[in-house]
Amino acid sequence: MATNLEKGRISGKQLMFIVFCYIQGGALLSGSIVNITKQDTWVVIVTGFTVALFIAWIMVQLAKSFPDKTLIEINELVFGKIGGNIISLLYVLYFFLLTTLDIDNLTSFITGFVMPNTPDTAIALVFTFVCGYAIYKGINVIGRCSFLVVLLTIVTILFNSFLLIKDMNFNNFLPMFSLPFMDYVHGTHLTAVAPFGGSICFLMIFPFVKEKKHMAKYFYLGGAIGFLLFLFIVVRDWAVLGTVATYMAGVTYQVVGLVDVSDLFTRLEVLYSIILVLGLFYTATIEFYSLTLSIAQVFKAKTYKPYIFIIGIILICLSNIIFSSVSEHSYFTANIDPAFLGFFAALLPAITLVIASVRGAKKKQGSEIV
Amino acid sequence: MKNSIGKMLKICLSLLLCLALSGCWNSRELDSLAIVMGYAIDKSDEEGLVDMTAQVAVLSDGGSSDNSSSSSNTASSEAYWNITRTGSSIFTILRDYTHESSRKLYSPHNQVIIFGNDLAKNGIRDYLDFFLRDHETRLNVWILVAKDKASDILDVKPKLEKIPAIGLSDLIEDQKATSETVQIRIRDFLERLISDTTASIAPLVEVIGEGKDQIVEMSGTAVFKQDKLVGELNKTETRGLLWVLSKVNSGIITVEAPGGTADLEIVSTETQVNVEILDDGSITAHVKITESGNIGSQTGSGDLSKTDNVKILEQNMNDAITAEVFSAVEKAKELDADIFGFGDMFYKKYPQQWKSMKENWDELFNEIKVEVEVDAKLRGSGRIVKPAYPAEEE
Repeated sequence: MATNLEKGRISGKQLMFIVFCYIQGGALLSGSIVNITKQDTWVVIVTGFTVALFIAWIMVQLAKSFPDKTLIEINELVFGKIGGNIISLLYVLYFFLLTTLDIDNLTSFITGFVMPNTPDTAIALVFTFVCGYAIYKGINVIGRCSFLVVLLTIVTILFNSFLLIKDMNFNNFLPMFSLPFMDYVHGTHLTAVAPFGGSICFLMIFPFVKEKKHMAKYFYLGGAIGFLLFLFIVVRDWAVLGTVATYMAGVTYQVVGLVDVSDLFTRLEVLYSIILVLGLFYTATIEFYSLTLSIAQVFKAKTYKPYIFIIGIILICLSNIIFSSVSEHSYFTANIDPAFLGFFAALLPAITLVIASVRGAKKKQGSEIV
Repeated sequence: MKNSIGKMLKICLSLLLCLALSGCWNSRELDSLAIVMGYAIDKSDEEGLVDMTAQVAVLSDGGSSDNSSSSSNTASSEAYWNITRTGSSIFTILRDYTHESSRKLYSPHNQVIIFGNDLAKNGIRDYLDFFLRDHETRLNVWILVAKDKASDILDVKPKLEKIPAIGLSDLIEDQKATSETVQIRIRDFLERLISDTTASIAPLVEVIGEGKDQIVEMSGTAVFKQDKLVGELNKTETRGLLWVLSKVNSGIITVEAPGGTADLEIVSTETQVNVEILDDGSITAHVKITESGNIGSQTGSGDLSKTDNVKILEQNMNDAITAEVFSAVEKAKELDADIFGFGDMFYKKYPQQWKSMKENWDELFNEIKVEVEVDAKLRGSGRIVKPAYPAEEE
């Protein structure tokens, strides 16, 4: 039982904050989407959110069909012992990929913009250590910290944006809807899965939510607020920079750097760096947590804590070797990653849900005991 | 007992964290930085190379030395140091400075980048790349073009400031008062550089005078075709351009008034540009300018508080602004450079037709019909209502 592994519990509101933080971590690095859909990025975020809602609905249905069960336990119940374990191991690999990508996101941001001569490993080490520490303390602590991060993120973004109002030009959004149709599909796919692609991780967290009744509501709400802020940031960035944005690495970082209110408020990108690191910390921690818990459950361990250390080391090494350059990373995020995400975040859960409901129906008739 | 040892350990660990505060591989202390205030880039005498001058702020040895007996020594030393070196690219030159400078150059506080005339004529795109790419440079640096050599500009010591680059940056900020000079940050320059049709612009600066009386003056606008300097606008044409771009902040327009002339101060302006493709295939740009101003000063005895006279003044103002805009349009057509960004407006309004228009935009731009509609309003006459003449008998 998952409840033996994790003693901590979080409230529904904390779940909402965690979902919000999780989306922010992915959303703050929106460059790859902006490059594809340019002035119509806001459109694909709206359509992408609609698709993401559907994915979220699948998660919620799975969680409702199997209360108190984690993803790994659901797999075993639905696909049987051997099949379930194989699929669970696939998910473990997928979580490895997700976490590694986020650690790499952070290191490439820090080495690209803040400390170019510092070795990637040094940054990855410190970052992974903090994530590992949070996981060691359990879901309860992760839940309690989330409110602070939400507050900081929202206040910082609103403050920055307020100072940028004078630089905005909404003519930049013209002409609307003039891109090739496939670009919209690509962009929608990317927005639907990229900030929300790891949302399957929440199936590892749902069992620890105290308020089962309102869990779905808080889950949707956290996602909606996260996407709203994401939309807000993308619209702001494009209004300020226009086409220039497609030439920039780290669009939001550059935009915030443009704030200059009579030499008083300048160099605010440091604030953005802080919330970016906090957001990525949450994204990576949730994924790292799911990864550790999955491995512990697949191997039927009594506690997940010893695994943190080993997995942490593997993650640091992986983040070091996964990409040889930044361009490789951005090519992967824009073109290869969505395929992975689409399969693991949408297709596989959907299949699981279908099989579960078919079997569940049989079970009710008493013809088969799962 | 065990508990207190644990506590001690934790306190020691927290104290150890302080060591991390000194930073990492990239930590740089103030006393090891050479803070660059401005760069000037010129074409070198040797083919294919550039001369780059960096203006480094010389930080004094602290306030104490000024008060001591060595004050005569500090007074003679300059507040800045110009280093010039030659090389094939900006980044190589930047690193090359370390052969001369005991401190590594630090760019985040850089105020201006000045391009020499010769270099600008050959194209500056390759030399901008570094400033856009490097993690230390910022996107709100001013871009300038020198009428002659760029390094000369940084040699002229301003009368009010200690460092030429800071004087120059303040000078650019000041140009809002006349709106006869464009203000272009590297980000604005990039925006125009990546456009298919819009021509880049940058303010022109030149050195005037000889010897100790030398000063730096802003003198109009440099017009680029892609990244190559093709011509310049004078001050009137520049304001004509700024009217269209809706960037006029303030300024003085002198018009004829009953019984003399009046200087009208521009207080607030707004411009709307509407481009259209007419049924017969011709293209137009409709520029609608709304302006309100005050009477700043007048000559002659006309009573400008009378509504009839205000009407005349407003009409004269309209004509003056229209003339300024047309002077800019004519010059732009002469240079065949779309400084107004009409091309991008067509792209935004007619994305379908634009695909075919883009190919021969240079010819289309010459045919574009610009209509100017000005709505100038006079709001106030200042502290007096009529000039200081003895009252007339009605």
